[in-house]
Amino acid sequence: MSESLGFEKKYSFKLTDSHQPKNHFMKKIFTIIFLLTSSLGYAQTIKMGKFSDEEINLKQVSYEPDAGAVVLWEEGESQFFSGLLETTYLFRVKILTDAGKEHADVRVRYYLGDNKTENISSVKAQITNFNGNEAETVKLGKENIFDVDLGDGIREMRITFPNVQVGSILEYTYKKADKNLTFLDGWTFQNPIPTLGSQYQIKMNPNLDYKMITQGYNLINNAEISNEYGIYKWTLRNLFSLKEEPYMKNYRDYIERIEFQLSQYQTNTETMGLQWKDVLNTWEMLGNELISTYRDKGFYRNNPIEKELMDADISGSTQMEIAEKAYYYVRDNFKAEGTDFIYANQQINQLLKTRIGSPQELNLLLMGILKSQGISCDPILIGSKGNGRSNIVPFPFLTQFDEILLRTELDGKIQYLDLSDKDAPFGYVDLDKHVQAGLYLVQGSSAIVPLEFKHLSNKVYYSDVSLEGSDLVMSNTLRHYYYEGLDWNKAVNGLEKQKEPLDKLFAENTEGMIIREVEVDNVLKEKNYVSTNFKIVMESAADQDMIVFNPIKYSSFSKNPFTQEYRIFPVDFEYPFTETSNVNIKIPEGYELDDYPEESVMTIEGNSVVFSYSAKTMNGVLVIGSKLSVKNPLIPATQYADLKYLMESIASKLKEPVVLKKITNP
Amino acid sequence: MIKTLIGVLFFCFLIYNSTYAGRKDSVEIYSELSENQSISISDKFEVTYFIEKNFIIYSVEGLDHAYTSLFYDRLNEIENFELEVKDPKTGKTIQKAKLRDMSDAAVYSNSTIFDDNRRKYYELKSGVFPIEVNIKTKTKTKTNFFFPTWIPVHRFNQKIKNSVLTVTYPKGMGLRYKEVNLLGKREEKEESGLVSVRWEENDLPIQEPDLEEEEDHRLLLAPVKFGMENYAGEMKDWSGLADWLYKLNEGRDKLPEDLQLKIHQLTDGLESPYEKVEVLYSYLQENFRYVSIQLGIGGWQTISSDEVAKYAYGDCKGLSNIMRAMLTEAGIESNYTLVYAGEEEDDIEVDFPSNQFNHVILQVPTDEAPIWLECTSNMLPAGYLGSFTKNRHVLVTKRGGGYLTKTPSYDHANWNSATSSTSIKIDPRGDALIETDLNLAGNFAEDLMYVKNRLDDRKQKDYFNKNSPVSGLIISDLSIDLEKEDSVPIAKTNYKGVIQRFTQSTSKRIILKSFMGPIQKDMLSSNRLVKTDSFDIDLGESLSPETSLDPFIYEEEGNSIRIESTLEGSNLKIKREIDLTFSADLEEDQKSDLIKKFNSKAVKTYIFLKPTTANN
Repeated sequence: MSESLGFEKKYSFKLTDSHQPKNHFMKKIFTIIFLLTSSLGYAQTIKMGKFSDEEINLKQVSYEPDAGAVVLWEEGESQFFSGLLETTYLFRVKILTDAGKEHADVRVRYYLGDNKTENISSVKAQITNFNGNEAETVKLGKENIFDVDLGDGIREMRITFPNVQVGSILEYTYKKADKNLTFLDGWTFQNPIPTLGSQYQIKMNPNLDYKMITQGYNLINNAEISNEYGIYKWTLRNLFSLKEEPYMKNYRDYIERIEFQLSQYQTNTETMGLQWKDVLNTWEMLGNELISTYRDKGFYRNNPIEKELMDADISGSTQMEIAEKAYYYVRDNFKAEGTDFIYANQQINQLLKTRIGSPQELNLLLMGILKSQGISCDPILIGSKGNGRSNIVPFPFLTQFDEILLRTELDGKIQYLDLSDKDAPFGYVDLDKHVQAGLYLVQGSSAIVPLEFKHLSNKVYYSDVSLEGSDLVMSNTLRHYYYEGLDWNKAVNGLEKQKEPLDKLFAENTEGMIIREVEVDNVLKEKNYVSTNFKIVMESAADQDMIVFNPIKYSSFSKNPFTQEYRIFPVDFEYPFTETSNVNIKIPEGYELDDYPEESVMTIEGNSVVFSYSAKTMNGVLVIGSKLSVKNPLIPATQYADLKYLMESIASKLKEPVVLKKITNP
Repeated sequence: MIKTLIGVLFFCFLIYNSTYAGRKDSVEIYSELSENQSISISDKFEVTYFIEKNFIIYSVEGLDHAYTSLFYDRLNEIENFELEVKDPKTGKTIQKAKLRDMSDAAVYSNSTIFDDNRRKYYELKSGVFPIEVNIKTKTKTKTNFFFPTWIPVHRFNQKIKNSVLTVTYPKGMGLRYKEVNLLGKREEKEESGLVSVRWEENDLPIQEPDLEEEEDHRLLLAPVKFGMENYAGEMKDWSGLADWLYKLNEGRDKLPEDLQLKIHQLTDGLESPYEKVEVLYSYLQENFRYVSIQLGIGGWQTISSDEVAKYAYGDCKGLSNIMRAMLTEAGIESNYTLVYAGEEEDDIEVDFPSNQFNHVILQVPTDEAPIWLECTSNMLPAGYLGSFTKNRHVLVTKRGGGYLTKTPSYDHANWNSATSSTSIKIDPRGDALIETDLNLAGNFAEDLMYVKNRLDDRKQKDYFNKNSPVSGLIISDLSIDLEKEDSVPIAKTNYKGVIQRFTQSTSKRIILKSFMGPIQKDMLSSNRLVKTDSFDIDLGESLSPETSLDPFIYEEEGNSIRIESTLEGSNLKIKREIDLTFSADLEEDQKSDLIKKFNSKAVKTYIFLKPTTANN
């Protein structure tokens, strides 16, 4: 199953059509594009209400027999009209089970805005039910089709199909007009239910050159592609439903999808005649475009920042000291709110007044502060994990970027900065931004730069076990380093905020025991770790002849996180890490060590994940050590079965007991 | 002089220390609020809400306290909103906003396909603190059917200096109220036929997230006489409210002829009322689906049954109403019944007749216990309500009135039984083959209806992999059969697979991974558990048990746990029987403690000595 989806491949090529006249006039890019083009009419591949015998008789999808509904056919046809792109959508869905009836409620969201940026019209829908060989088709009236204003210019067209039965075929079509000609919506070929046929075609405009990006195994390898008279068409068949899996950050990388970005347009000037003009077709151009939006909002201006800093102390003897103070100044005096994205919405003056801004606005403010101190600092555009572009496409597609971070040089050393997490100390960058490369935004010379984020986000557990009176007491220290520390601290803060006891942090592995004296010391800022001291007490343990206990009381993997039978996508642990445990068990007077877990080393092919367990006695102390190392955080789906077995073996090993036995006097 | 200085220093030290201690121990305050709210009811049942709030906001966390969201729809309109932000030191105005500055949005619902619920909202932003914020709002409602509960403390970490509510209404209209934990005073006066009741609370304790809801200060309000559009009623008792609801939906139960014919085809040959109910309920489940479109009077009047029949969909009101009409056609009486639905929801205030409902079900009276129908479900058997509406007070509506009653708690053994039979064969590596037959009845079968009907194959298997008493299970074959015995849902499950690392090994011992499964709290949500599990384990070799295999019997106050274990050669047989009955009066933590105690008896670990050790 994993082979059928495979890994993403990307490429780009230029779509032009030399057969069409090029005598059009264009005024201003990004806002209004006037095009005078004659367009061919389109014929839909299928006709609503006309079904094949296969469609009528279909009871089950052969490759996904449990599917509740199936897209029998879907198609989109795009063509340019005066200043807009119109796409006609047509969907044909069959209901296969009672549970599949939920697909009879359809919602299509679009952005109308103040200027009808997108608009939906010509909505038609019908349902066909079959009684033996007799088909009964009912066209939906306006009482079944709704348009809801969700606010902020966003609207939702909704259709609810009446008389839905198992076996019903639902069909709907609508037109969407889109004024944004720089970035076209393109087409997503996959759905949450299996899709038997999905087709997209676009009739290109001879005055507009678009770059195209495709992704998905089937689109690259199995698509039926045609190109005639400027009409480009892609058809994919028998696509699996797309479902998310745990431990994956890159879900969108796998969707079968096609997108377009304007690269050139043709313009007519009095002096030069017809000319092609470039649009965002170099990294420099894309960089300049972004920088100009930040500049327009005042983030490259010195005055407001100097005024802001009048009462702030960000002095220091080194650039590192200054940058650190500046970072904490912004982090602690401004509130990050809203979605992390690439654009600044408010002017810098407004941000300085309200002191609430999006993470990117706070980053840009920090950039301005550092620049004002003579420190080199510029933004980097990145495609965060989950945005669908784990690897940068080698063409300046803007849509592959969705967040920014800062790159600065402090005392000759490169440092990345990010203000999207209010708890993060200086130098921490949101984990979703830990990608391999980004677009470094420098006026006139923006370029793709490799990124590297060094951190050792490990966990270390120490424990001293001894008998105190009749109680077995485990005195523990747990250290979470770097991003693990950041996460742990959030869990601690969450409990404290809700007035919940911190014992809950350890409840899972301590059933039947008592947790005492939990104390947390957050020294992330100074030492990059959060230390947690706590005691676990097995009350009246000495009352029994044997004390049986599990010595390792904390591990993130004491329960196997992988329960699914198989996987389609790779497992992503995000970064390499280790989890280490060291337990010293003082064998109490009057007791002998009867039994303990055996030594063991386990791994999977390629040693991406390695686990070792040791147990030794020295001077009346049993020393138990364990270490789990995830060396390569991305484990392919083909190794899932081995990984699952390894993690189960680790979970099982971590639960093995130590047995202390009372020495009986002869 | 020196003495005086020492005295002053000492005094300062005391002040410093006491201030510091006070800060450390006291609750953090994000905002301080004085509020004046007035509700005026006209003789046309129209209600005007006028609210004035004066905040001092001390920190960025307090900005949310001044967030304003005003609901509107066909019956509710927003007349005014004014906001002014001032610097409390200088009195200078920093920010102003009016109604036109508010954002507008639909109240988004994933379950409702269409309604007219919208809201206007204003989000306050400020970078300086403290700030003084004054907010005035005026809204109007065309009905006095429902009043929001007055809760003077709106937020955690908010200091209420003063909060006043005044309700003014025509004397003949009447007003009822229920005060809960109010600490202040109430005054009542009458002038020119208008009655005015005023509640005032001052300096209320600051609340934090650990507040128990029942400890909160609140005032429940309800009308005596009320009206909505052309429907007037009296709510002084439950019967009055039920009567109004009955009349609101009266005459909306006509069925198309073809459906009438179908009903007779399905039921004319049947004798018992239950059979007729069952057949018609199945027909509803197979042919109609739940779609929420809220366009009736205030969301309370049902869509007519002929419309539901036309589209084959409806919301809870529409589906219950058509089911009632279908039963009437078959000669069976049934009652449209209101309920506050939701899993683990608190019961309604039974001594305060008022609109406290959010859902509709159907009650079919019989000579014995009534048959209950959840008409929005296409999975539940007739007569079983499920966790969404079971065990709570509901309002049955009938012509001329109605009454409050309770839905079944399903706390008898036949509604709470689980039986499993498992065979396990251990291989030399310590992995094991497993086959389990699991039969769940009543409440325990409810989850499996969802698993079977809503999850794909892989997720169904994963449900068992995750919830299996033994970790490391990977199911290869799974079947779930949903059946019913009268109203009792039954789920018969069989699965086969492997258990990875079923045995753990130390130097001297082999330990079977815990496989019996503890008693979970949700197994006793109906206070009854009858569970029998048997295991047949092939150890693969003859092992000497360190664990005692003597029969274990635990009995206490009607609760019992029995475990029998026998070892013949390499074959270990275990049977565990659990029979528990909890009192409905137990508090949650008492329940947890009892379950913890029973689990220490019910879960046994099987340990064997390795052959070499055993021989020594």
